[in-house]
Amino acid sequence: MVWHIVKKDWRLLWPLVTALAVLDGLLAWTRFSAGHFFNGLPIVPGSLLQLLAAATVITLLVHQDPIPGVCQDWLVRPVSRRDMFLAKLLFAVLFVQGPWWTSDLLQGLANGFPSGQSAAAATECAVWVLVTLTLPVLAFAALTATTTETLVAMLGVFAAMLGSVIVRSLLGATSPTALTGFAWIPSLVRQVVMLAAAFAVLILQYRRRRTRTARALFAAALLIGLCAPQLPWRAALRLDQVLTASSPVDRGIVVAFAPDAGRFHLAPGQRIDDIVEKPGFGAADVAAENQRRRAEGARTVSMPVRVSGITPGWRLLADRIEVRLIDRGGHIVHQGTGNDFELRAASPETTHHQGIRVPGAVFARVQSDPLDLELEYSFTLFRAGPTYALPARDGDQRMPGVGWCETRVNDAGTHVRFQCLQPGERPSCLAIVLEHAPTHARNPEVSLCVPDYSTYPGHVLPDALSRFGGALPFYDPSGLAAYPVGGSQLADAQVVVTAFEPIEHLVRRVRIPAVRLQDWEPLAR
Amino acid sequence: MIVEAHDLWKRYSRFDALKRLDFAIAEGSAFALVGPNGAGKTTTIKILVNLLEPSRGRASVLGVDSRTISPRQLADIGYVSENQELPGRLTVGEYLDYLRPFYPRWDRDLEQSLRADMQLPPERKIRDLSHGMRIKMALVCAMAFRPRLLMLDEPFAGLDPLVRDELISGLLQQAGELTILISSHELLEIEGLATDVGFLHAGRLIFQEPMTRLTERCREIYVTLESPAHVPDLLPAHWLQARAVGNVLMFVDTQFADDTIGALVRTVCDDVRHIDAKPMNLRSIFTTLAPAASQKVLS
Repeated sequence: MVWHIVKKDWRLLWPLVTALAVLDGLLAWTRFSAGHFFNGLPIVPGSLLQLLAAATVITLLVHQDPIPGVCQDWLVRPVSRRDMFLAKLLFAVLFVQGPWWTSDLLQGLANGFPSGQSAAAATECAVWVLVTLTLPVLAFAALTATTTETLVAMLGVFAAMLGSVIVRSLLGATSPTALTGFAWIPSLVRQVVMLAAAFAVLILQYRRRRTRTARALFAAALLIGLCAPQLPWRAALRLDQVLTASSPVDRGIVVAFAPDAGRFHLAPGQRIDDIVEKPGFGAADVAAENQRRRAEGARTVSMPVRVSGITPGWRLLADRIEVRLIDRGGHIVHQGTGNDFELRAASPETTHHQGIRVPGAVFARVQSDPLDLELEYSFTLFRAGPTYALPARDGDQRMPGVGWCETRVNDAGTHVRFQCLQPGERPSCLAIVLEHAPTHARNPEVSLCVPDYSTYPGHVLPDALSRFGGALPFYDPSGLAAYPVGGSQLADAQVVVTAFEPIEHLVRRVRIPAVRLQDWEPLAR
Repeated sequence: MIVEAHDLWKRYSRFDALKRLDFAIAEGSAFALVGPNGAGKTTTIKILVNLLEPSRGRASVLGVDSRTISPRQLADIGYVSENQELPGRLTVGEYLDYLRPFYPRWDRDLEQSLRADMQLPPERKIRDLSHGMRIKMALVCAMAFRPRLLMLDEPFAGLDPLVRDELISGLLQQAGELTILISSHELLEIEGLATDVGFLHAGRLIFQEPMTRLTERCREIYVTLESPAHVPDLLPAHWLQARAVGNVLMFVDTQFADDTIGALVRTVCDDVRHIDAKPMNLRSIFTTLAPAASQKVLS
């Protein structure tokens, strides 16, 4: 009877399903036409519209045979509730996700990727949509009987989400894993909780019609999901170890205090409270973080540390640095986090000045006192993968493990733009550099690392293709910066691309005794 | 018994919609559940088809606990309610096509005959049907598979007399083959249909008995006296609504017996000239019993 119910729903919903399929096709065509350089196109809003439209169709699908209430005709018919649920699920998979999957597949094929790779990426995306959209929306819709009820419930969910943001903002609580490669852990926790709640709700509703209990359960899951970003750092690390079944390997990486490196000297125009920017994390996130830090009125000290044991060419990313300042009596006078950083070692040993922000009042009180400084580093080590090169001007190359990439000089003639397409997940970390091939002169390297240490593909938006890239400057109109590889050399220049793969997380602790904070403030040149 | 309820309770928040309900319906009977608004008739029927769960006690339908009714039992139960939500965007024909495969005993000839009798246009969308037509539609959907048990919850509400007569004649055609449980305010209409009646008031079943016995035991009694009548201070408890007009004392006897009424009247009145006992219809019985039941419940 499952197919019989599906046919009935098709008869009622085919116009909407067709409209959704057309939308999927249009968006896929738009993205395909845009190619690598899609600036200005409404890629993400279009995808959000696609998600919203899919959720609407699924909700209407469930509401053809609503569960809450005592007046629904189907409830007094010999219709197996299991068949009814399976019919709804099958319909959603076939007619909501089916066109989506097809458009993803066709887009991959049209971009010249192998059919296996395109199908795998489309399927990964479809499974992700099933888990994060279809099943939760099926469950959510099963809690309501009408569109009005659903809208009210959605407003409730939106209010809860907004409330959690406001509360977190008022409490000054930031997610310990935000902007790190471990952000997938709280995200996974939230998704697992919501998926478990979705299953429980679907069982409760389709087997027992326990609407009140199911609603309470869903609300509780939502609450837990909203609190998930506050998962403590150590818990996230432990979960990562369990989920990735990884055990630390001693690779001989050592971090030690390096007083001989002296105090940090600011470059002209540099502000010490600028955090290390991580390309790909979004300028808005970085700007907001800088704004927050400046508003604190904190002082920065910059401690020299020497990191040794890194294989030359590999990268070491500090995901989080926990800082404790302890006075002579053993009391913690300050506890916080240090500035993140990323090292690409040219030699096995490299020195770094570790920025530490101390609240203004604390600094004023203890700046001349001898304090013990404890630093606990959570690092991720990236192994260098294959290196490729493509012409800096109008380059076009397919690079295994990276994707199909193109280069183009921007309209202002200041940057070489580098953009790639890749079915499925993008590489976690890339480094690109503009190199003059005949002389091997190089401009500063640009990191395209967006660390994501998740063990599963979690890529949905805007489709099954990852789009990523960056810009390599070669000319500064203000004249402040001079580049070894300039515009006149672009004809012979190439973009050298190196992929990096995260291979290990490691923790290192450094204890520096009797530090006077005032001795380690950065010096202006 | 095709339907049985034992110590059935239904509580909504702090309000008991049903209190200790006990009743049974024999197979082949037509059981009318009557009572004022809010008596618990709809709640009772919704519990029987597992749209609601009882708070306490149990009900069984076709030998199965109402809470565990499965599609197998539902294939033998027809249900029509005045507020039943049919899929409005399907046409009459499409919905019948959809339902047919779910019922192993669906009788296509009967469906067509019922549809023709009820003048249901197959191409019309259900949402475009009038209230009366929708009830007819629900009735066709509830009878075309020849159910063993047909539950009708206020099926005549809001219908004009012509449609009501059509529905009743439709039901009468099927009577005898199936068991009917009907709740209705339209007491005159169901009188010709019901074989048994249960009177529900404020969630309690005041009585349940065969229709014939009820109409036999309830009589309007007119006692003509030699002198002006007055209502005696002490009357038997089963004499209700006693009043005196001129030489006539009138009351309703709810325990009427032809052979004892004369002697009983004479114990109360001395100068009886004539006693006349008139049969009552269900509506009159209901309007007599309802206030008494209400007082009893309140006391």
